Amino acid sequence: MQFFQNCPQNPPDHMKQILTIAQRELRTLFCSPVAWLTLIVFTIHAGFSLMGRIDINLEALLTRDINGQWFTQRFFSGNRGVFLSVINYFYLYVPFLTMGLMSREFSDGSIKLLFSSPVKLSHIVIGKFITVPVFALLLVFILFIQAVVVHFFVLDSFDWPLIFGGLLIVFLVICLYGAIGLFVSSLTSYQLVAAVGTFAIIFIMNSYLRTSVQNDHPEFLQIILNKWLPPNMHFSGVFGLLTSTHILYYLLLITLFIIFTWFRLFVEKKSKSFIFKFSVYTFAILLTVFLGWLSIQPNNIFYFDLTADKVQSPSAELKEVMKKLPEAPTLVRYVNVLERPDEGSIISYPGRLGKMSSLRYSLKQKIKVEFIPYYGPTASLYHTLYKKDSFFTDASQLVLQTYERRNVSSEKFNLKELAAISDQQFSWFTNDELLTTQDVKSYLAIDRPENKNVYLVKSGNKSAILQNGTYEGANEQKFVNTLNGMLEGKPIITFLAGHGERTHNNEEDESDYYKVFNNHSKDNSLVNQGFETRTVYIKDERIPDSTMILIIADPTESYGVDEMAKIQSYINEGGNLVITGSLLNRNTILPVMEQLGITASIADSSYKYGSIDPAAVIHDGNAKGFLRNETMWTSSADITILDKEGNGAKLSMPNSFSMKQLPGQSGFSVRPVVLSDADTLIYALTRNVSGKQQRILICGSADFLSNGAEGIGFKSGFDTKAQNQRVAVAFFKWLSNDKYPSDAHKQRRKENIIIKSSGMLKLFLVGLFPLPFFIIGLLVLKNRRNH
Amino acid sequence: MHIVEVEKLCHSYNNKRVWANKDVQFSIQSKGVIGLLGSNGAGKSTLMNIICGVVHQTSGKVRIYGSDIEKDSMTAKRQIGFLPQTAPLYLDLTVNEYLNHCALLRGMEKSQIPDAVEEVKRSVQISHFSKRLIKNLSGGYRQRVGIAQAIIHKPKLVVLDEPTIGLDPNQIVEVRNLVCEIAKERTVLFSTHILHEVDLMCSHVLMMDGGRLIFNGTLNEFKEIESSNKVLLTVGKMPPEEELLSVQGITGFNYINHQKLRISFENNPDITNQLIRKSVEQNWELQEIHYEQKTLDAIFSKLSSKPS
Repeated sequence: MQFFQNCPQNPPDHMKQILTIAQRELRTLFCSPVAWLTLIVFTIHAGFSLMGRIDINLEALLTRDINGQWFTQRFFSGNRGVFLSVINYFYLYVPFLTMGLMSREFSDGSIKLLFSSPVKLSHIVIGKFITVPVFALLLVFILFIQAVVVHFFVLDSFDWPLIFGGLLIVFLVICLYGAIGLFVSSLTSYQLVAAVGTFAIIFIMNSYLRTSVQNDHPEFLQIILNKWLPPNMHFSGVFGLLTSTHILYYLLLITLFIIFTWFRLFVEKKSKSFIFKFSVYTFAILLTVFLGWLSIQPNNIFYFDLTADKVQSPSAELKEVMKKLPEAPTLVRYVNVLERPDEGSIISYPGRLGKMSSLRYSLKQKIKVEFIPYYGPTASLYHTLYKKDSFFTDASQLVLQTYERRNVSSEKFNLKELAAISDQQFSWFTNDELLTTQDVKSYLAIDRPENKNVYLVKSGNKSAILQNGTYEGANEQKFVNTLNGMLEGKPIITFLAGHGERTHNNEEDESDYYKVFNNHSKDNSLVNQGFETRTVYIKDERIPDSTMILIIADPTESYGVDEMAKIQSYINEGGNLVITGSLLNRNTILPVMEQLGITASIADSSYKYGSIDPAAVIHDGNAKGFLRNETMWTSSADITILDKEGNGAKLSMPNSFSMKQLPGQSGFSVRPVVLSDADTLIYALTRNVSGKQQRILICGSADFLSNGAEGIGFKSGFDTKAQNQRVAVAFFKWLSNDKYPSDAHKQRRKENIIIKSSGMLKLFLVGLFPLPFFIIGLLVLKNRRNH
Repeated sequence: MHIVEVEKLCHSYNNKRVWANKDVQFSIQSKGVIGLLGSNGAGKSTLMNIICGVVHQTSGKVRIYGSDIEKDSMTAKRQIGFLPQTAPLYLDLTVNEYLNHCALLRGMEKSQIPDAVEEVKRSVQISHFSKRLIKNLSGGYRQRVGIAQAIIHKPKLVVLDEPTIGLDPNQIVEVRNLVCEIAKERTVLFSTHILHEVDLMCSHVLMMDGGRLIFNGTLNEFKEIESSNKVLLTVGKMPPEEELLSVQGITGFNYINHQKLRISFENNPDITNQLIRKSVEQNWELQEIHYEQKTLDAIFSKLSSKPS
């Protein structure tokens, strides 16, 4: 017989054998309906996710101009973007793909073919695992096609680096889940058990692990089990800032489960004692955890800003101010234990910075955090109790009951006593004593207790309040403002008082300037932009030298000679100034205005709205402008003083009067800033005094900055879209000689939606795009069935 | 050089509480079919799995052409083709795809594979099922595919673990013929618990019981153990007791029916000739005479009391 004559003697090519195993596995996968069904379902799932994001923004476009925002991030990489939407469901997809990888070999007996062939165990495992990244690439490709479609048909500009970063995370998550699935599949000969087991492990890692270790456990355990080990703690790379911690996490965990699979096959071939197996598994886990621990140490972390405009990197301003600090900053968080848990109350994870975490992130985590608990009833607490919110904890209720029973606000609670009663442990707080609101107020010299979280920045012997009473996250700009203020002293805005002027401390009074200047709970309030407000009674006091900007806001009584002299002296010395007057009281303020060469127009008319004069704004080809057409701070959208068509922002100007220049030379360069038709409602004056430019704003509407005006705080005119508060920040930036707020706010390119409706897009993404997978799958399966 | 060399082989699946193989020691030096006999649970499959590197032994050595199966497994396994008791098939592949895959796994050059696949299909007579999915094949053909994968890379040692189990009589004959064909150029280690198969196919016999090797010798040596001390006679006229007892060595007899009787004897290798002569002399009208076949159990029982 001819056949049995030669035996191959060449050593096998290992890579070829790995690929042989991978190829066989892929063939089996794609000859089954599972792969095709997964591709179809995934395409539809991702399609609906993307269409959801596009539709919601198209709807928003109908009512307001939201164009110019970071739509790549909104569509794909945001909290509700496509990437996170699909990643959150991979635990349902992957087990079906991996369930048969090893278990089928055991149940069919084909494992003996592999074991008796000249193939190393490691090659078998790697060959099997390769199926996962190959399939992951297919899923990533589907998302990539979506991005291509959005790039060419939906947006006029696109952040591709952000997309590639997100796709990388998607890929790594699938590979990690696949590695888990491979290992579980090697534990059983039942595919269904493997699928359920994989699902269970991923689910436990993502949910239970995050809360598995309570606060009384060592910090190491808390960080590893609650923060490092859960995969969903490493999804944040899709937001555009990838860290070496994330990458290493995925690589370490994938390697761990591949090694587990190898070891599982090894002990299948060579039986070992339970102690030996336990020791090996434990050692591998401990080694991985140790490497993971090293990877999360701040000095070992490398950051990769994947955004096209590097918006996730620290700004030059931040780097500059950090260099000036005497030592690395510490963020002290005064935690109100009666707050809702999700806002950082007593049961919150100690390392959790809440919405501050993005700040820590952008600072490259080189920031220490301390926690100091205090208690004080809050509006949200009563709201929570009233609603019987399930988030509300026994511990919080206990504190409240004790607080009410004792009814002595000065009495202090001891955390250990509280812990003993409530079965909670609070060892993670840095001191045992539970402070009261009064304590916090006196320690931090806070005028207005908000009974919310207070953040204090410390460096060396310097400290400054970063945030008091706002739930909004502190951004980098705010942090830079605070640090600058801490190092150099805050820019002081001094309000004149004693002649019926507008004040800045009364939230309830619609004519008060509280919201623009002193609202701690709003980030775009000037107090949160680095400014400090003071009041001076001009009759008895002199205007402090530390004043950077003086506010003379709509006095109802005329100033006396001495007072006018003090004001005149301030002006003569080159101090910056804001004068506001109202139609009703304009005669009182006119003497001050007229010293500066501005007076009221003769026409006695009121103007409801005005808009920024484009000529006053520095933009293309305008050498005379002085206001920078920069992005005004908003929490959710970027808005500039000039819109795309070159129109100035609209402002509500209640009870205003128009103004004109007095004949003759005042010594100031005078420019109209806000106009209503041909009438000027706000003038900007500049001149040089002792080598410094003096900057003055004269405003014919005192209510322009008041609590009750449209565009201030939450109030907005639907039709007018008044931007008073945002423009006010821009004005005070000019008045502070362009120093506050800092320029740390990131500039990035504008992205605009270029479609009007999404019908065709939906048809393609949800209807046509899955079709090729359906057709090819059908043909393959039909072809196989015919064999 | 020994083809297979097994030294003091011991294996336990459950941490040395129960031994699947205990102190097994033998070597194979020649081509041909080596029968590995034993009842179910005797340790045959474990021994074969260890020889093929599927399982690593607890202690002892196995060498294939001088290469240690544990330490130098890649070299050793290149000489082996293995068909386990359940053929290691990927049911979702076609015959061609599967054999291609097996050839690649065994390290064959890609250029040689198409010819090798065609040859092996011809030799096991499955060419007409090349594009058929394995899951659509009958049990007999699946077994042929299993054999094909074991020999596609032309190994020097082919290990077949009970390849005729579950086949119909025709298929059994075909597989036996195929094994004999393979063994013309190779060494085939062939496990079975059917004594008759050993007689038909094997040149050398290994026998296991309770994890131990209880016989290692040629077929002739094995047959000697198998030889019976009982003869069955079928006659037209039943002989009287005194005529039977007059034959030298006969120690007793019993009637099975009115034509058949079983005769026990001792120390008389020529007993059948003497009985034939006596029947002619006494006109018993002898129709049939043969040794009564011993059951495996009987042989096991005998071998167990006489370790190799």
